Amino acid sequence: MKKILMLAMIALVSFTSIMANGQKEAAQSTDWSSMAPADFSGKITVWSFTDEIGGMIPYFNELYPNIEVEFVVIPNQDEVYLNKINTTLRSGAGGPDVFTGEAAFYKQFIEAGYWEPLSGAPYNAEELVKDLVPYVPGSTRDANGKITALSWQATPGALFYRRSIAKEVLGTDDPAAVSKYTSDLNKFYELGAMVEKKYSGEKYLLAGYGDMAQFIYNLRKKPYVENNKLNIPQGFYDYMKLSKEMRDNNIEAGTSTWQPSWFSSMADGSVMCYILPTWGLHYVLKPNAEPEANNGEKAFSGDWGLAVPPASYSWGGTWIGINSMSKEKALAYQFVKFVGSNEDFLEKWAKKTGDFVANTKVIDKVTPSFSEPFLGGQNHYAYFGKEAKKIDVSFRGPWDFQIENAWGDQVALYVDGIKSFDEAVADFKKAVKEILPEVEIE
Amino acid sequence: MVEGKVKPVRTILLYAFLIIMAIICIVPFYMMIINATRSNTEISQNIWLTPGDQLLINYKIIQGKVNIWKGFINSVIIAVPAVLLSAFFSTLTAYGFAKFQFKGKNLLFWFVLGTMMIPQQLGLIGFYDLCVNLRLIDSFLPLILPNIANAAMVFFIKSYIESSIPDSLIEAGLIDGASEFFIFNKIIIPLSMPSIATMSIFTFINKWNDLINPLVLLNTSTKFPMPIIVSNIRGLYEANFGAIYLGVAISVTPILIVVITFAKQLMSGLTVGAVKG
Amino acid sequence: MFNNFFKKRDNKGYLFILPYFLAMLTFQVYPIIYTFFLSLQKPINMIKSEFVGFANYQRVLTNELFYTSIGNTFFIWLMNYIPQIIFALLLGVILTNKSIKGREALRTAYFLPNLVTASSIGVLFAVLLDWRFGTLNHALVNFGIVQEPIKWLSQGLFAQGAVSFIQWWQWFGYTMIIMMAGLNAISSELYEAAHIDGASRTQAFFRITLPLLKPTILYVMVTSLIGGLQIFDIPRVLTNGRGAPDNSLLTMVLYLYNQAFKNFNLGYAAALAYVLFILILIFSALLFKAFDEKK
Repeated sequence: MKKILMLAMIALVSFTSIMANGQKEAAQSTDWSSMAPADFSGKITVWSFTDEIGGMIPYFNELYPNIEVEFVVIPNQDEVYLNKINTTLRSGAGGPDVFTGEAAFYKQFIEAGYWEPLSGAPYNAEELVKDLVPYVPGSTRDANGKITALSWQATPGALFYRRSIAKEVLGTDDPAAVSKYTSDLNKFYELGAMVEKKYSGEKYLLAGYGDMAQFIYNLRKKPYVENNKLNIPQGFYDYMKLSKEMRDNNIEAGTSTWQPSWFSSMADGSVMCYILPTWGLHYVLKPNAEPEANNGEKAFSGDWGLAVPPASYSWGGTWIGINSMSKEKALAYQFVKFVGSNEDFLEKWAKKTGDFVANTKVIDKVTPSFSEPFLGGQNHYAYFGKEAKKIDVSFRGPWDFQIENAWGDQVALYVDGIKSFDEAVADFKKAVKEILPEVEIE
Repeated sequence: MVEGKVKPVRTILLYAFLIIMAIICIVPFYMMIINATRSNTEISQNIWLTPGDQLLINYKIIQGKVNIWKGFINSVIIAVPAVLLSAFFSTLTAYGFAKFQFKGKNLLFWFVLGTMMIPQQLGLIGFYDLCVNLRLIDSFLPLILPNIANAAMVFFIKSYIESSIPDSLIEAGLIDGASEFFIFNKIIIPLSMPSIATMSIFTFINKWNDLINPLVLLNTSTKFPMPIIVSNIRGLYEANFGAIYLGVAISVTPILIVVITFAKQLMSGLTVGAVKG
Repeated sequence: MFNNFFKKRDNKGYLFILPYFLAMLTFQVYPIIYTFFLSLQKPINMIKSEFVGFANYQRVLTNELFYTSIGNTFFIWLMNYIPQIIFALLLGVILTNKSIKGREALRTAYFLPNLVTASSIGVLFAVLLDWRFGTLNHALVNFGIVQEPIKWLSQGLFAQGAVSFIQWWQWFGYTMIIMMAGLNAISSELYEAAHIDGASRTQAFFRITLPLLKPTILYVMVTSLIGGLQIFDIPRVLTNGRGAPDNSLLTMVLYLYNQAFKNFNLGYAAALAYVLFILILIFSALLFKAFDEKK
């Protein structure tokens, strides 16, 4: 009985793999570079973990009236989006024509070849990316140097502060004056001590030391894993010690990023600074710090300002590419191209959502028109425009997110006094061994 | 049980215990529902026991993002047939195991139990592959049909039949010339009803709350059931706690209705005793 | 030939269980075998794998963290399993007594925690147990019970206790309902006869209720074992989903899940699944044996 069962299963499995191989079809060979947008017709499916794309489809259909886009949102809460993309693409059948990837895992997608390389014919995407902030397409290059995805946005980082606290602590709320304290890590710490003293521990510089993680993780030059060896950047150690000092001296409020208390600290006025990137302003800080104003029920207080963080960084970002197994690559590429390079669309998008776009021409064009009431009229676009050009993420690898999380876990244990510094470092190495069993560690 | 005469002090203590336990159970559930009427900020700042005024706003957030009622209907289309299949075939199987002494019975029963012991998080990858081969991706069928094999339900009904339905009843039926299927339909199913109802409720809740299976197997957003819809209320960067809680509240309602409707059925118990004695 | 075979009444049992096994072979066996094939592979990237024989199993069995996860799982499981079964049995017996008023309402109330979703529990507990802003610490400090707020969720033992408590709270009502279904099946005449013979309630409980409830208790114990050793969502939502603090909430399935879906090592996760399967199988068999011997 058992044997027969096994044989039947083996037969079934081999049958499956034959089927899967048979389904791979040759790419369409029609030349579509000379076709007008309206000539493209058909239907494509787009998957993403955010609903942003949904808002772009109407713009796309203005130009491409005959391409129907079916859009499915699958939030990545509990890794379900990743899970779905992986199961679907592993099986080699069906799935979306276009799908997005986030900073935490897009490098994995590229390494697995999920996205169709776009540099060569018939796509010739290299022509499209001249005007993009270089790191945006640059970081999607696969092992052969081919671009695999585009993006409508760039995500440089900033620091946002409460002007009222700045005034009481520094006597001024001028962004340039505040930046003198925030742009240098030592001065930043000093500022923290001043806040602590001024409010005798009732208010804090930061909601949690973890908010510093992003710029610190961007401070390295080398990848974490190089030639199958683990590099622990000096910044990691500094971060761990600094976090502990901040905790012991009451400079940070002890919340963890994305926890309910972190969100609520934005509204209750107990924290001076949040280190957040482009999207953090519109989607995190504004709705949580002043929810009524964000819903248009009253005016923004203008109590926030934008200053220079201790180091330049980029955080997050969404990329969009074509499923390498899609049967509608021509149509799929029209969508990716439109979202990633259509200047007319990007300009409208920037003005409508305030999101920071990746196209430098559009950035230059729209920058003068921005004045953010939430930031007391400051022009955040001008600042981000400068910052975006400084970003270099060539050291990014597929396992960064996991490695950084593993370090963060140990920082928490050290800061809470559960572990000594050496124990924390040793346990981090063990944790990396769990993620990458074959990487050499020291 | 025999209705004993209990002393007043003991009665008070007993009720106090029962009521305290009830409070421990109701309060967090109640808070979950109350949060549906609160805003994002309020929920992340505090624990609430009184309703707020954000119910309509939360409902508008839901309406702006997802079609919750369509999800509701999809969930019904999946969960109801799944439970019916589970209930019928589990009783059939349980009866087979409980009242027939065939060869290899124990081994086969361990096969049934064994299927419960593989963590489903991983089995899903193979299941997806299977559905691709059977061309069942993006269909409700792979969410419904596998419920014919519901190991936990078989196990429970089997032990119920074993302990509460005497062989003499079945033998009496056979002597009267009833067919096996007739006996099953007219004697076994009615007498096992409390166990079938109990397990049906649990299966219903399971199916109703199942997120990961439909998520991996369905591709069209108009086919998504409730749990996916509720998790889609969450924005990428904003938490939308209040709206999510409202979604959860809407999603929990049918379960509560089912539990309360079946309450009588569960409490009524059996009358097998009359036959036994 | 078949007619002869099925003339023997007991063999008709095969027909009754046939549909189940057809469905099982179609929908459940394939994934289980597929998982086994996965367990012999090592990922090259998210999509490609290579065959490595039993290397994954070797890694599982020589990995310190795997044993930590077993320890955590059993600790959390036992801490809620025992009180859960005691409460379920006790409340089940009380609520089957027809002289208790409001039985239906109480039973529904006890079942409510089972309907609270894991993510709601995550948010509620995060707000409740937060270090500087949490409700619990506010209350403790205001009443002068503690001087400084306590960082609850950085204490491994506390976090494990919290998971056990939540599990107990979520499942005792469910288990109670199952117990009640078994209790209701016990003929009231048996109790009446015992009463006439002068047996006390305690004697009736140990002589009548417990022995007749044995199949139900076995069911409860086996399914709670199977479910309890696969505990996953509460440890995940209570802290950061990676088993913090210091892997104290890393249960076997959480470990497996993170290996599969965060570290993308399906092969290793599949090997973990099989080792877990064997562990559960052994413990279930022991339970069955223990119950058989008492007969």
